Amino acid sequence: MWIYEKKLEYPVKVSTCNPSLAAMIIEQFGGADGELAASLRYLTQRWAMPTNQAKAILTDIGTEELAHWEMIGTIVYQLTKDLPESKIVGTPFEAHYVNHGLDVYPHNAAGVPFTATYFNAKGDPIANLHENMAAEQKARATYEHLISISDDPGVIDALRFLRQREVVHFQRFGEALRIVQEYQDSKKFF
Amino acid sequence: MNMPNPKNMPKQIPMPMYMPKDIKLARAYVPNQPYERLFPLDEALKKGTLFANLYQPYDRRNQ
Repeated sequence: MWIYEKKLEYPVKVSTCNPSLAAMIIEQFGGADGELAASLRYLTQRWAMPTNQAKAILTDIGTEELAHWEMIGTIVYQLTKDLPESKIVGTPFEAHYVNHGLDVYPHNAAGVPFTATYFNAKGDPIANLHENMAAEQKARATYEHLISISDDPGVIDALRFLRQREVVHFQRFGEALRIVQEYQDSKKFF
Repeated sequence: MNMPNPKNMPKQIPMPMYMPKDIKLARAYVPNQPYERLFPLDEALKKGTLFANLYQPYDRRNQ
């Protein structure tokens, strides 16, 4: 069960129209290390986590990633929403436009549609948590690349927030890993 | 490569409480986070974390 709040986790204030930037930022909407892949990865893995604390960490972070997905979709939409077709032609966004118009669709920056092959649920909580920690680092790296190519202050501000959340989530998955390691160790003695 | 010189190392390496006592090989560990130094709430939202000890901002390359 989820509760929806009709607001963003962090305000997104985009001041420019920039279809080229939108076409890059969509990487985090439908890319391998993006927010949708993160959310589905954690929400899929959580059932078989061996402790309730580990389950709760995956539920909480998987939920927050959906809120981040919503923020990324908002950034992409705001960067493109008022554009006449003449301003789209010749930009990297034009390939998106011919298929999806101004809808935001989950594909990566190269136009490859989203797929569940971007994540795994391995039937092994240690392996799963390592995948999650790697995912947070890869998402952090992607945000740093995006911040480096962005020139809109509002976009950069939101990307900085999202990048910092990756750092926090890495710490939380590290703590979850410890919880699961200690739980598995304790089972060997009792 | 700079290898640690055993002569210069203390006899007992102090182990902070936030790491486990018996560390095993072929295992990854992230230190447990000490609950300390909280940002004021409005600042925490702006920074993306409540915790000063987790705040690791990115220096933008092209500035």
